[in-house]
Amino acid sequence: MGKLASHAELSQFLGSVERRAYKHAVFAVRNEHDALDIVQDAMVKLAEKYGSKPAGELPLLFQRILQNTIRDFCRRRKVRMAWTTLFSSLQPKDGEEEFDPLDVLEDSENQSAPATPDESLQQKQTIALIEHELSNLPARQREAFLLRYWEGLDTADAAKAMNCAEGSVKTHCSRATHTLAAALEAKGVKL
Amino acid sequence: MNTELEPIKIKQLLDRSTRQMSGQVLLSLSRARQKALERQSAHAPAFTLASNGAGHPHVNDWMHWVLPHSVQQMIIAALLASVVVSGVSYWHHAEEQRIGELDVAILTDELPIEVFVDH
Amino acid sequence: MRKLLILLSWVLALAGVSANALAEPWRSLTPAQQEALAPLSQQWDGLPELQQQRLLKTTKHYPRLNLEQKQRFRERLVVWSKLTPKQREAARKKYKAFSKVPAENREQVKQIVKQKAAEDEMKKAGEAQKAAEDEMKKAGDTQKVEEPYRPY
Repeated sequence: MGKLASHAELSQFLGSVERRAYKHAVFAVRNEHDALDIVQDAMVKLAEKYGSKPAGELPLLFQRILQNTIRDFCRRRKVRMAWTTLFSSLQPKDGEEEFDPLDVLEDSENQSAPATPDESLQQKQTIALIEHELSNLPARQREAFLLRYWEGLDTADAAKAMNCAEGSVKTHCSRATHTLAAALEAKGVKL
Repeated sequence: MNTELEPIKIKQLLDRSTRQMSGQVLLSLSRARQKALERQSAHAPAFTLASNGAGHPHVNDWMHWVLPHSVQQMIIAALLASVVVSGVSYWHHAEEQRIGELDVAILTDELPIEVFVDH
Repeated sequence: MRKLLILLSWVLALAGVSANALAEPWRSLTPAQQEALAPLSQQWDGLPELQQQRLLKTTKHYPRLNLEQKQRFRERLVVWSKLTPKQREAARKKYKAFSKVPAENREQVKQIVKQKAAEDEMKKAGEAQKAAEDEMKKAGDTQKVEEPYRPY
């Protein structure tokens, strides 16, 4: 057994992962406040249950806790939302009204193109598009994609974090990649 | 058709996005981190309810010396019972209070009672 | 040890008894309670103690209700008391869950319920009118049949 994670090591790890964790959550629940609650929840659970684990084990443990916390939240919210569908004509809203980043894209298409492209604006729009599409992916595909390509977990670790088979991880990943590729192609965006 | 998506480019853009997050969110995240650090467990729980006297030899000796076993047991049981009883009756009272408020709400809500009742 | 257990069970039994008060006959209720529970005056004495206790708890809030709420309260009392305890418990759970739904979604549901109620009213009125028309038509037909043959 390796050396137990110290306070400083836990602090360093959390500091390095908190922004990405927030993004993971916000893609899933589309609400800033809820996403922050989820991240805090996951961090506390990690510290309380696994605060004494070796520092090298923390990343995978945290990802598993984070994904579970997100899933629990979504499940609870589904139950609450079910009450707003007492009558079939009522459409459930998914989280609060959010600024749709695609609006930014549409606006720019209508404007006359500037002589020299504004790189940072274009990049902002691309980021917004990607985040929008990630948000729209089925939960498992998004989880697999982000764990593999953003958190850098290998297939085995991603499978542990998602509590599924490695084959499933590969399937989810490739589907996610195809969907994202198609979405970018459709909007004429090249990375 | 461009089916070649380089995930590394997505990662780079997402990383850039995290560098552009609002100060408000970053502050909240750092607060969350602090909260978690406060709760970090340094070691496995050392305290266990030792019923075989293996916990604190001093206290056990004292108890045995001062009071006979059965009286000791009676006192503990009586204390436990009174705690349990007062806890139960408090909870019961509070629960009935909550139910009363709920019932009034259902009986006077704008929505008809049928909305909440399964037949 | 055995004495211990007997003592404990006695204490817990006492706690249980004190938690459930005894049944209250209608005539022992205060005028305020009788006013609030008036629609139940007939069946009150037959109700189980726990149900009586819970209904009495609601009467504490009754004076603070406005006229409309008081009316709704009394209108719904009979239906409410006829439900099984399980149905009431389920309704409480549903109400609690519903109150946690965001305000605007709750409003939407209320609007839809009101709309549906209005539609039902109109439908009923329409059906009542049609029924009345059918009656008149029937009456008219029988009259025709009963008219004696009048040779010109």
